[in-house]
Amino acid sequence: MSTRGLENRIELLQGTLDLLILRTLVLGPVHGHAIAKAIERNSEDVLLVEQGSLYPALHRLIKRSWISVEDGISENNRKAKFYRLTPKGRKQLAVEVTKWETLARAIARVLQPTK
Amino acid sequence: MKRRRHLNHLDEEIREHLEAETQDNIDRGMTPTEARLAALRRFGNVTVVREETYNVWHPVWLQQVLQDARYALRALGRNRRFAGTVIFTLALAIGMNTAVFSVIEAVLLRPLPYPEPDRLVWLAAFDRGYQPENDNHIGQADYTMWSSRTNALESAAAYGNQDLPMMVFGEPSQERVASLTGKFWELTGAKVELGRLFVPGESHAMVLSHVLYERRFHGDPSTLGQVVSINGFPFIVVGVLEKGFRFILPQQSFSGDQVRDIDAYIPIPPVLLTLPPMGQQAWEDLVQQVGPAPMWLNVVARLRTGVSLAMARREMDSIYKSIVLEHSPTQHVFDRFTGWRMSLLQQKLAGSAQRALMVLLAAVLFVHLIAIANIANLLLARAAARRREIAVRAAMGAGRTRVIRQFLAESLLLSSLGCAMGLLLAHYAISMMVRLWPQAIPRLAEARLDTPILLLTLALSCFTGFVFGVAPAMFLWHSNLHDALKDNTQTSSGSTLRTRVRKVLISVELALAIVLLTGAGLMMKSFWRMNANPPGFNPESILTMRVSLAGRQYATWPEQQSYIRTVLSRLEAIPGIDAAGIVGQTLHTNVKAEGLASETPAAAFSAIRAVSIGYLRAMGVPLIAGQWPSDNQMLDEVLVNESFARSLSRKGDVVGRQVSGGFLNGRIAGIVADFKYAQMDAEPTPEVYASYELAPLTNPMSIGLFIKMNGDAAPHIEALQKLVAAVDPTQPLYDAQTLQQSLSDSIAPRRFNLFLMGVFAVSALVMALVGIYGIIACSVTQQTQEIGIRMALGADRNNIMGMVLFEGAKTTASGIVVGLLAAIGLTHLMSSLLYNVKPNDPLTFLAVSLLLIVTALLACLGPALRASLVDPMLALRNE
Repeated sequence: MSTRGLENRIELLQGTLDLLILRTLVLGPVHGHAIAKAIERNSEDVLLVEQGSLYPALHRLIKRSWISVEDGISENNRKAKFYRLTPKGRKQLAVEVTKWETLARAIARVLQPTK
Repeated sequence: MKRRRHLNHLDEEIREHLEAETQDNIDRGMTPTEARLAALRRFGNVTVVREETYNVWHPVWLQQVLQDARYALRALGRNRRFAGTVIFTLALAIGMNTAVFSVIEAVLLRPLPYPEPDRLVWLAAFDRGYQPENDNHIGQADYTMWSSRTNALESAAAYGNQDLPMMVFGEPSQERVASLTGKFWELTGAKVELGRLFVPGESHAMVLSHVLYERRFHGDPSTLGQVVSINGFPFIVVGVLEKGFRFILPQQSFSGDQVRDIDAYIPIPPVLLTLPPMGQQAWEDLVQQVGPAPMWLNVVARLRTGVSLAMARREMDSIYKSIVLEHSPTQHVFDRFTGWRMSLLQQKLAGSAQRALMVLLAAVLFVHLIAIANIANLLLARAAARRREIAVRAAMGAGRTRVIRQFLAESLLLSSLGCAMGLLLAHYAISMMVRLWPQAIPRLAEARLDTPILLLTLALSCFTGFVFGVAPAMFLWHSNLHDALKDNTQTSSGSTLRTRVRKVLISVELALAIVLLTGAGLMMKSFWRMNANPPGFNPESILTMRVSLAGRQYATWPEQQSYIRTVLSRLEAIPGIDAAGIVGQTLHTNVKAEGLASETPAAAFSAIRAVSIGYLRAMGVPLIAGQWPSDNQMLDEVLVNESFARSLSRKGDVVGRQVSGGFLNGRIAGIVADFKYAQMDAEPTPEVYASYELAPLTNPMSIGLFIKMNGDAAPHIEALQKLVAAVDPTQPLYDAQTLQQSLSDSIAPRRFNLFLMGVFAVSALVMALVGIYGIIACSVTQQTQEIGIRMALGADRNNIMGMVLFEGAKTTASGIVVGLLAAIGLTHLMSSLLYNVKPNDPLTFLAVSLLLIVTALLACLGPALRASLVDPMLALRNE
């Protein structure tokens, strides 16, 4: 059942996972599973995230001090790690968003040169 | 620390994640099992996730390197004997190489520790007729004349060294003093730690070396301004040189003098720098009035910027010609027999050591080659044993780079362990060389493991490790791995090529070893020849000491003679002393024999030695012809040595002839055998022995005492020293030792070379033997089945032993033949290091070949015995 509709999904471009994680954390601290869910839901299930790949990405962001980690209690009352955007991460998000928009515009112009 | 905390929670977090996802799936209506599987699928490979997260914190390459290193350690730990042999061989080779490199670097390559060392030149005169290879030294008048005329040299200095008695706090000692003039301080960049340097024109001032300051003045700063007497003249201590200053310029040494450092510096009295020329009676009289000065000078100078050595030589040539034209021969030392030479100071200092060091360098490179051949051999054997392992790893999907990296890890581990041990070895070797032979080579004391040497060694061992790692891996990768998997016996025809390669390597090793052994053998034979003495001459039983009669109380002959007579009569009165005698000065000059014209000018050039009659008795030299002088003082009779007689004998009988030259004028009473009293490796030269009482007066008068002891009853050396010192406590007694010790000191450079060459040759021999043992033992193991078959077919144990020994002999023989051929070509390069031995001495070649054959066969004997004890049943069943 879960394999159905896979053909409509798009594999994430290299590096875009970081952007998506940062964007997700703008609304406040979130734990790992919830981040995965949020990305899938917000992209209307178009973006395919192999959920496991979230974790190396999260650690990469911690190492760069773009996010921090804290203990908390999840919605179903379990202990969980909550990830929070640091001020540095917030700035980085702005940079990444700009970069992404530039890229997207550029690709759009290439695809519709008549415009 | 932070990373560990993050990673510790990772597993828990992944579990939570999977549970949450499973719960979501159950909420969507899946069964728990389905839900769990779906969650796992969504998540992906947990192990990969964990590894990747881990890799965020730890770089991948580092992990893999650590993994390779761990694996390499384990692999080598399983093969301790292999690893130990390789590490030991490498350590030996690297240690010896590094030690020799650092000596070469210090002696030949390192710039002199003086400012602008590449522009410093050395100037000397030499005799065209007599020993043109030896440097003489320049007279003060000549120095003054040309140093004022030169344009090519921007500054020049002259100095001379003398051993002079110094009286400090009422205690006499003999110190080596350098007398200076010109810009010596500027040329050497010497700085004081205390006080000041003396200036041109100053006299009776003294600058102490730091060593003397510590030794005689106990490092007391109040030494400055104190008055110290040198040879009876007062000198004021004006300064102490910095601890780091080293006097490494060439020194003038008389036969029997020990090479030593300069203890103190004094100015040459300015009045002596003009006239009269040194060495004449007027000059001697002046020295008695103004203070000590050396007979001859050494000259160092700095080339003006942009002036080449050739230009300076041309200028010197014209100055020299004009000096000869403008002055009478009494005013300068140059005459038609005198030439001069100018060379870079660095080259002059390296001079004699250069050839010896190059031979040693070649020798140590040979040892290194043998070590490399040995290690290559071991690695080939090991690679063969690992063929299956590699095949299995390749079959399991290991990539080529991964396999090569594994091999590389092992060999780099081996080579870095070997390198570390080698450096340790080199460190000890260098400090031992510096301690044992400090004066064997100029500047040897400066040898140490410094950065360029360390870098060179590291590069060498990394390169070795790289080659030895990659080569076997490539070799294996290209061989057919499929066969390796199928093949479960150790022997296969494919290994014959490898065996042949290994045998060639062994032959090369043996060939290199025989070259080294021949070199060492030739040097040993030279050494033995040097130690051969005429019958009756036994340097072990002859005690020597020296005294320097100085100061105004010895300004005239009667005082000096009465001192000498007192000392000799007191010594001869002691039971246990067979004879005692003295040698005063030695004059080198032409000796004419009446009624005989000498064959060549050189042959008539003799050393006239001023001795007491007891000297020749103390030496125990046998009389060959004629008789001992009839009177006991030999005032009008002289003795000559065999070389002198030989140089004249074709013109008739020598005994009874009247001879004259220098202070000598007397009848030849007898001929004594040639003997060595100072320089062990000097060829005997013509000598005439005349009474010291006829020799001209000098002050200080340096006297060598020679005392022949009588075996058991011999008095103690300290007791004799006391007895002689008691005659006049103000005169320092020094260099007390047996003649044997003093002779063996005279060949310290040769001992140094022989020792190193010996060490290299023995290491080479041992490595070659280990190599041949290894290959024969290995081939016996490989041939176990063949041996079994042969035995089953009726070969007895002797046949089998013979077969194995023959195999060893074949390898040895080819190595020896090649080695002997190479040795014949190479040994002539070391002829300057030999004494009385031809570079192609057949006896040495024979002895060395025999030694190698015997030891090689002994090395094969073990495996041969093992082969003969093979049980044919077991060997055959083993298949």
